Amino acid sequence: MSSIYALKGRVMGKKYLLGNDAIAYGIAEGGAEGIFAYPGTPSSEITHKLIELSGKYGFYTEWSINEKVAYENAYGVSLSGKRAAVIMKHVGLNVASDAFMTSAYTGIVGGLVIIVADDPFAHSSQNEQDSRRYALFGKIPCLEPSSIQEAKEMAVFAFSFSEKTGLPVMVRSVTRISHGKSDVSMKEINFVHRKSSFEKNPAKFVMVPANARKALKALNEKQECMRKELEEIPFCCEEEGNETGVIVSGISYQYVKEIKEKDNLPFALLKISSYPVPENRISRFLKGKKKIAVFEEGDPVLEEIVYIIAKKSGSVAAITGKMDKFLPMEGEYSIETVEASLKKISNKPLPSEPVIPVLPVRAPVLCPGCSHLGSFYILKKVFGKDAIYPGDIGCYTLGIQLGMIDTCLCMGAGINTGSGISRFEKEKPVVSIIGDSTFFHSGITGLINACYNRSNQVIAILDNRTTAMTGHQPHPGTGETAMGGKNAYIDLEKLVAACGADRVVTIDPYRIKDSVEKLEKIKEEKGVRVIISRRSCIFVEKKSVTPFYVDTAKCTGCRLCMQIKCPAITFGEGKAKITRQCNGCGICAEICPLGSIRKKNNGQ
Amino acid sequence: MGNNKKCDIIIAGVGGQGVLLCSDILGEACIIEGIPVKGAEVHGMSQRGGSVEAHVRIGGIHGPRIPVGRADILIAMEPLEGARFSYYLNDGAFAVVNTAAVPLLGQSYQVNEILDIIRNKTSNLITGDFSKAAIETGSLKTLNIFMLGIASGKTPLQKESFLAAIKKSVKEKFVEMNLEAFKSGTDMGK
Repeated sequence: MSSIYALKGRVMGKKYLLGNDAIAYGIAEGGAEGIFAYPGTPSSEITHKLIELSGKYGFYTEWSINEKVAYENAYGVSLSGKRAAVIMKHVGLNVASDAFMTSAYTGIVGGLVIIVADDPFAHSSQNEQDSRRYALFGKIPCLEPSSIQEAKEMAVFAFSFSEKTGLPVMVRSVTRISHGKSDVSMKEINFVHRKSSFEKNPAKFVMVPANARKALKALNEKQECMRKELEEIPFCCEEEGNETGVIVSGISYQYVKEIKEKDNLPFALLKISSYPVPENRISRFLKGKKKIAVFEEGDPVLEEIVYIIAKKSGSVAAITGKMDKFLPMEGEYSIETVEASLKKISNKPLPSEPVIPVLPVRAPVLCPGCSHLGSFYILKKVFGKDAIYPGDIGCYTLGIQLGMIDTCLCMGAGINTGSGISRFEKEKPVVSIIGDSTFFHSGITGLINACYNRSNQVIAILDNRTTAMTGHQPHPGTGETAMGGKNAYIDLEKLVAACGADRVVTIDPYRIKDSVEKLEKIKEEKGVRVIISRRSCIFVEKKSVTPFYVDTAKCTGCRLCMQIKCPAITFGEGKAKITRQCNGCGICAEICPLGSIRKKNNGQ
Repeated sequence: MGNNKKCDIIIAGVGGQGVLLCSDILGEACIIEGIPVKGAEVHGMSQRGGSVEAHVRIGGIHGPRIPVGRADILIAMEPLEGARFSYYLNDGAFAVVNTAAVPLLGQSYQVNEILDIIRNKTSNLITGDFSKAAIETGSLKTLNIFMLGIASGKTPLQKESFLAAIKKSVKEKFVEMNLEAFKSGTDMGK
């Protein structure tokens, strides 16, 4: 089996790439024949690029319905001797974790690479969890790139390293790698297709207790070999200096380098690129140092390890980092944070604090013409603002701005949270809100449980025919696949009915009166009532738009249309006004009691 | 501007204004000239009508983000967004700021007061209703390329590299329109 992809291939010049695109090229260069992903910021563009490349190289790419499904598919490809990649955001690994943990026990056959994009500062996430903890928890290797170029090269290296160790290998990206950009040196891709060759080996692949006990022993024995290999990992590097040493992992390396070079700071520098860390190398670096600072984004994972190595090697260096509150525990590091910290440890004067202007925040909002605006208006009208609205993850989480999302925990949690609340809540209606893609991801089990265990709630599936928030990926409800196939779509109404819902009502969120009438009928009923509110996302169904305008002679300034919270409706001089952002949904025209909002004709 | 071919550029705007395309074109132009380049952008939730910022570091070899107080150029497609990132500018930096405001849901602001925040950082700036200008030269969709044209003369990159980069980064049927917008912009920037 060839394991030297990293060394092969002609250099092909440079490209200006998004970090995620660079990772995708690395996966292709590494020879992955099966790629499985569920979209999630900041990871989605990796798969977009791979879809683009799949035709050229003949590999398979799939939007799976969730990360666990994706992981298990990739595992299957690996067991058949081929290389596979699975791509997700950090919280996606929680979903895949059941498969992930035990796949380390069984080991793999073809190289299996997990690309996980962490999101320090939670730019687009519900938490800031650190995937390096998962790698340590699962006892598998984790590679952490410090630049976009390195992210691409690590993706290639990860496949051969996976086959060398017989373990899945994680590559941990972060937002600033995934959504950073860089000139990247490209290599010619010589894609090799392998023969599919699943070999029966129940002692290895069937994790019954007797086999699991042996597998754990084997996994533990692999740890030493893995550590030894990683001592010599080519991505690690070191610069000599004075008695102060900086140990850094990930993108922070770039900030440290930039400041070190700009101000000619004399500290020694060691860049760590893997977990398990090269222990001997760190131990050597600690020798003779009086002070050590550790820079990393996320948890103090490296810092904790450095403490242990210092203790083992008898180092007397004072270690500073997150644990003594020298560096922040939360968020991502800015170059300013790094600069101030490096100057403190180098006894140099600190830079002055920037004066940041205090300005109104421009928070993300639902788009003009977004079907969710109609859905929220209708639900509020029928069930009232005091109803309890357990929410989920997607564009509609922005319903928090309308007071229409009361909880958001993780993918698929809304329906179950609603079941829990409604078990004892007898006064207020409980209306769980979930999107179509999220419903396929992890809402179905919640619905079945709610029906089977007799929950009393309304479940609104906001079906905008796409995975909108992450860049409009298809899902089973659309029938389209990642590689452009058109398969039979899953009929939501039939699926929901088959799960056991007491009532299924489909509404059009652009037709307010009609929808309100339909929902008033199910309001007082008991049991699980599912509303499917269906209208394509404005980005999916691209059609010519006739915008609306306000007839100012008729408008009395009642502000009813303002309740929709459409970004295209503004208010001034006692009248509503529709800006050129209007996408022509007509929701405002329908609710205006005076008929003062009308479609523009030519020339108006 | 920095020494040699180093130049740190911040592009600010609102989701949907084409901030990221500007960043792509600047990066492509660097590749064409063989100059190292790094950048950082915002994707995901913030793109839904929120503030969008892109950093492009011509000659950049390390970090993707421009340090505060060290940007050489600000391209602001919306005045409030320009003011928001103005603290990144160095002394004597160049700024091109569109005065056409994109309203905030439920809040208002005075464009002149907002522009003063940028004027306090630099006197080297060009302001104007570039949304109107873009519409006049063809389409509001070319606002980004029009404004990139205005700033292009202040970068160390050649005009030919920009033109080639636009051809490479824009869908074929929009190339002509964007080249026109770029040229109108460069004329205004002179």
